[in-house]
Amino acid sequence: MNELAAKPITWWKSFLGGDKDALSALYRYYFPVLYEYGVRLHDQEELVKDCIQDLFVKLWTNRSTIQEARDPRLYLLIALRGGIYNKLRPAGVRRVIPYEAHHDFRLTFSAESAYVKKEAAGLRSKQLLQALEKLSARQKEIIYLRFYEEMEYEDIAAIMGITVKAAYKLYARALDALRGLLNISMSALLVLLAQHKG
Amino acid sequence: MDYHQFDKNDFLEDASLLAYVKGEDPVVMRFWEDWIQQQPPNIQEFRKAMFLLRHLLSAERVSARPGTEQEVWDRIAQSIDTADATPVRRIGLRRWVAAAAICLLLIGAGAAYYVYRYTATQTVYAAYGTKKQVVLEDASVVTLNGNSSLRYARHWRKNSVREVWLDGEAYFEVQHLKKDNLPLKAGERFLVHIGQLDVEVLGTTFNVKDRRGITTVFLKDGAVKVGANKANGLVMKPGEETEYHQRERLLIKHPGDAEAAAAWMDNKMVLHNTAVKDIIQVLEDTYGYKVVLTDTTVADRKINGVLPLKNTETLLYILSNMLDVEIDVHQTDSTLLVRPGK
Repeated sequence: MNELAAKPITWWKSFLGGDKDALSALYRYYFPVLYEYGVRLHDQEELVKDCIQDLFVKLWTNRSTIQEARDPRLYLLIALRGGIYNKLRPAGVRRVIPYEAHHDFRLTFSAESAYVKKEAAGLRSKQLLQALEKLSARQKEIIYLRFYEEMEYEDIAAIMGITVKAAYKLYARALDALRGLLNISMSALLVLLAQHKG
Repeated sequence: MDYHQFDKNDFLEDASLLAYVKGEDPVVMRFWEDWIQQQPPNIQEFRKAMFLLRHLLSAERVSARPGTEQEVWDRIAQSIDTADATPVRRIGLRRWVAAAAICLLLIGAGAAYYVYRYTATQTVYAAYGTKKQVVLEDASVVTLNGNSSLRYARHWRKNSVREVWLDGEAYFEVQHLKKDNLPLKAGERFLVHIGQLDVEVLGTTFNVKDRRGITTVFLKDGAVKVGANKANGLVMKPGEETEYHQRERLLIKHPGDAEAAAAWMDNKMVLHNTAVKDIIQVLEDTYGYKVVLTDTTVADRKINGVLPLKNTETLLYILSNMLDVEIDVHQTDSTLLVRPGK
């Protein structure tokens, strides 16, 4: 276990023992992650803020029944996602609605990004960005968790409420959608480079 | 780790390469720059992965306005302090308390059993390309299509509503418990929850399906009431079909096609001016194939006829003739590659 991960786990233990400062430390450590994930799931900032508030209040009031967490970030992301979907559920409906029903995930790929500007293939870049934009909400979510949050498939599956196998499959399908384009773009790029040299 | 053996997908999975693209760690940066200098044989695969990673990471990060973090924490701290300030009365542990605790424990165990008996649910799943028949406690029969699941209580109380939860597609033959002309009692009701819809059944045979954001109910006999919430429901008559579009929250009723709606029960698909993309949806959703079209205009073509679904070879033979295309099957990942015919 690296040092970075060790600290939140220690805070988690202390907060379970009734240490309010440890809860505050956890909150400050994870607020940016929770906020970003929350507003990507749902664009009403106030609702996301309410859900984060509820989440930490519940952590505190239920601390006697909460167990030690292997990974506080995972625990918090799962809880936040559930909280947001509960809030979005129509009033009076007790059962859990499959999240696809109103699932959305805001991830806007941009040509303005410094990462993309490093690539010299203008048109191909544009096509790839367009293809990425067309990915489903679930595919965007898995890309976000995998490449931005750098989570393992096991954890991604736990957050999205699917099996690990389904998570792999979802990711593979997203890549398949891009594969054709990528191969074209690479060969076109080579042609471009060859012309440059000549 | 031998990066020379890596292909594009291996590179995409590599945490060190991700760190290189993000440019966070100078040691990692040095390593990869040196590696590129060696002109490895798989440099093309490396470049493909880099190209993709840079685009995957191109979305702007989102952060809260300054002060938001503090504002939310203040609210949390206030709620917590209020909760902690609520006094809790101390109870001394006397003998009678212990006795009471044992009584409570017994009552609790009884209640737990009761809750278990009537709220424990069972889920039945029919895998891709299979069908499963479920006989419920009241002798109603539910036939599940491939890639569909049904959840229901292990036991129904005598006078409570019969409720089931469906994911996918199924054909229902519900036992009619209503024998009088009095108003409907709870024990006579049968509710199917599917997607965002509730289907209230009044003793009937019908087909329900929930795929890709559209919930379809086809009624063969009897009557059902369909609604997205309790307030407004549509009453259906035999032969009618209702579609609910989840995204648009739109409920539409139109004449249905009895033969087409329940054809899957006989391993068939009945096509009346059906778009190829709708056929592809069924092949993907119910049978677990992945369909790749090299010519996407095929998707919009409309065809008529009957497709036998039981045997893959027959299905593909007939489909390729109907569409005048070649279909290759990749068994390893159940992909069907559809190419224009010669």
